[in-house]
Amino acid sequence: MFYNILRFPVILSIFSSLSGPIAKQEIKPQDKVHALYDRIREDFYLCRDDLTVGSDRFNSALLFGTLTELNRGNQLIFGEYGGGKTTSAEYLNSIFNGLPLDLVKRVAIRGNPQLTEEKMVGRPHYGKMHQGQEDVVWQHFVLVGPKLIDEFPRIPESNQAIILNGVDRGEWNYLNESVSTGAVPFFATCNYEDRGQGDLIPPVRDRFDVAVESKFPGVANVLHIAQDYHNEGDRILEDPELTRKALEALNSGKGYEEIQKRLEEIVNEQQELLGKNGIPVLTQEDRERIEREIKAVPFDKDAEQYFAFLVAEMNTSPKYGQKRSIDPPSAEHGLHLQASFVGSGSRREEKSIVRYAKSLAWLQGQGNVNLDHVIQVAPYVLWHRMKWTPETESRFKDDTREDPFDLHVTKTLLGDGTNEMPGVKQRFVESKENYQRVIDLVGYGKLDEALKEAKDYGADGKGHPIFLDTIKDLEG
Amino acid sequence: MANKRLLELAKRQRNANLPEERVYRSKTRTKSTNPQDMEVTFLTGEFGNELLARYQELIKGRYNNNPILNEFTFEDGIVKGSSPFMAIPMNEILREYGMHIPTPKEIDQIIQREILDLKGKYEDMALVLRNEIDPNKYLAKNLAKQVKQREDLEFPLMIPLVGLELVVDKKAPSGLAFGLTDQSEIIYVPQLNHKNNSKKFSESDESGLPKFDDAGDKTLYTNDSGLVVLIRDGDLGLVAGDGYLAYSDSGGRVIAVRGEATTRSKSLG
Repeated sequence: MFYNILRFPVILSIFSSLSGPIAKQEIKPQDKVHALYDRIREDFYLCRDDLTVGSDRFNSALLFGTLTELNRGNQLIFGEYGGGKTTSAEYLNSIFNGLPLDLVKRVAIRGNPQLTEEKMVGRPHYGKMHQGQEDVVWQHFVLVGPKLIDEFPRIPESNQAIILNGVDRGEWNYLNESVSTGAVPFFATCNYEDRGQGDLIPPVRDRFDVAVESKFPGVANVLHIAQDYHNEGDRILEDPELTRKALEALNSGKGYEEIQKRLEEIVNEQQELLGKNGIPVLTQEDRERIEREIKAVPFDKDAEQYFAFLVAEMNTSPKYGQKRSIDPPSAEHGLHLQASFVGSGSRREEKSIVRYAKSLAWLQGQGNVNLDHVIQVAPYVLWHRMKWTPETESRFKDDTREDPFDLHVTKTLLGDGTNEMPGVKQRFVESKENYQRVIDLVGYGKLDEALKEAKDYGADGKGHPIFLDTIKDLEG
Repeated sequence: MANKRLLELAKRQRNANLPEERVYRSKTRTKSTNPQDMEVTFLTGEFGNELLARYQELIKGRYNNNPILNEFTFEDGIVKGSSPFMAIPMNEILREYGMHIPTPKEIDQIIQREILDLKGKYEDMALVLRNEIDPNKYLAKNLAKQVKQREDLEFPLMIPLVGLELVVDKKAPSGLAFGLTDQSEIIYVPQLNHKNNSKKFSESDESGLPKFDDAGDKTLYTNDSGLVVLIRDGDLGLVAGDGYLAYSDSGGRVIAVRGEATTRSKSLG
């Protein structure tokens, strides 16, 4: 739970007034987001905290879901059947975007092997087609902003790519038509590998900014959830009438812009209703401000340097020049991260680390992204993409843990590691003084000396890969 | 032409002042060749081969071929590699030949008298225990418990490897733990407190620990926590901050000393 839960009653009192004026004092956007998080956690997606950042405790699925909403990112949600994966995403999309919950459920896609582009994106307007005219009827999934696909791996690979292209670019194409939706939050759920479901191929996994697990919420929460077997608690988020109007607009055949205007009116109505129920809303102005503020949060030096070390360990190889998925990992030059996994880093994942670390720092009201932000965020950005070597997996397979196996390995190896396999953070602490020295020399224009020292610390590939990489940058 | 993004990054991250002198601290060790000495020797030639064979029998029989013990190599006519885990069983083998691994004091004397060329190599000499948390929390707690059974616990303390034994411990992260013996010497070492990190020295005291001197030509590096190994580094400085107890590479050397092991004084002829 947020340590600043004390703020929640204040915000409630401002928003729960049924007929009074709206509070005149400015509510910081962080406070609104905190309030939304807390409300979802308390009344809708009952869960337990499993992540500590600084002095704050969070539920990781809900935290990263919140950050995904703020960033308009892509999030994978793993979990067991009936584990709350879809539910969490539905609540997030509904509450953060002012959409009736029943509408969110209606426009979500359920993955299955027969899902075609026509069922997901758009189809020809058959009436006009028969008259020799080309026109596209866009599917609701495209027209309504925040997106959710259930059981994503069940969709054929080629169609997974279509979805991800559309979500990434904020642009959807069918026949010769296109609509620009802009970036939107996208959630995809994924049951743990099950008979009948395919796996997500690496290029698809790389398109998801973060992955989380929707965990067992605990016995006490389950007893409460089980009593509400008709989901009466969801009623305050639902509005059949508004949903009907929204569907009417979506089915109207009108142009994209006009449909969006109508949906905006519906959102405004829904948000007013939510406000009366004590649920704060994020206005468009709030969102734009949040985006600006997040972008402006800088990394402090430790955070940036640790990130540099992580990038070096993910992408350089003393043996092969750079890390490649077609080269076998080699521990010949030391047990850096590059020796522990098959594959390489990607610019997408690095951007995701930066975005989500900044968002987290912003949410906590911090002036900078610090080392802890990066160390907490990076595993959730990476774990669904990492393919650990069998040797690495064998070192951890008997560990006692709370997280899914790959997340546990990723957190450990990005942190302090173990006695046998020190982690990135441990190596960063060990080598940062030397690295700072090289940086100082470069920063003061002593490039020859910097190169000499970088070569010493690099020790022909046995030192930290950051030095190998710096040597390449210095040599030009 | 250097990458301009690196130049920008460096300008952003540089400290207020350029360091006045080079602070060389590399975790890696480099290869070297060495002369042989009658009283003090690296593990070379047939002698080295024989020791290695005996060592491998020992780790197979007693330690179930634990992989972290299997890092010695024989290259260029010399046994290369070292870690505290490996040095201790090798010491046991050396005892069969009337020899032992050197104490910190003995290493210092080897350097001062230039008996062996230790530049570019490293030697594991002792464990340093600062508290019962990471790095190596389990081993730290385990060792602290043993110390408390003998005397009052006062941190930081140093225990030369020559007086330790290696025990199989399934609860330990690597399956191995350090055990005190009758020959273990437990030395309180305030010189190795973290506040002395990066201090200079040239000479050592009777325990082989630095006598600080701003004009010294060697450097002490220390951390502030857990159980770490005390190493003589490639530039003959002291490192008391290495938590990677299983680490070994070809810069490591085990040295054999013939004579009585003492930690207070040792005269080598």
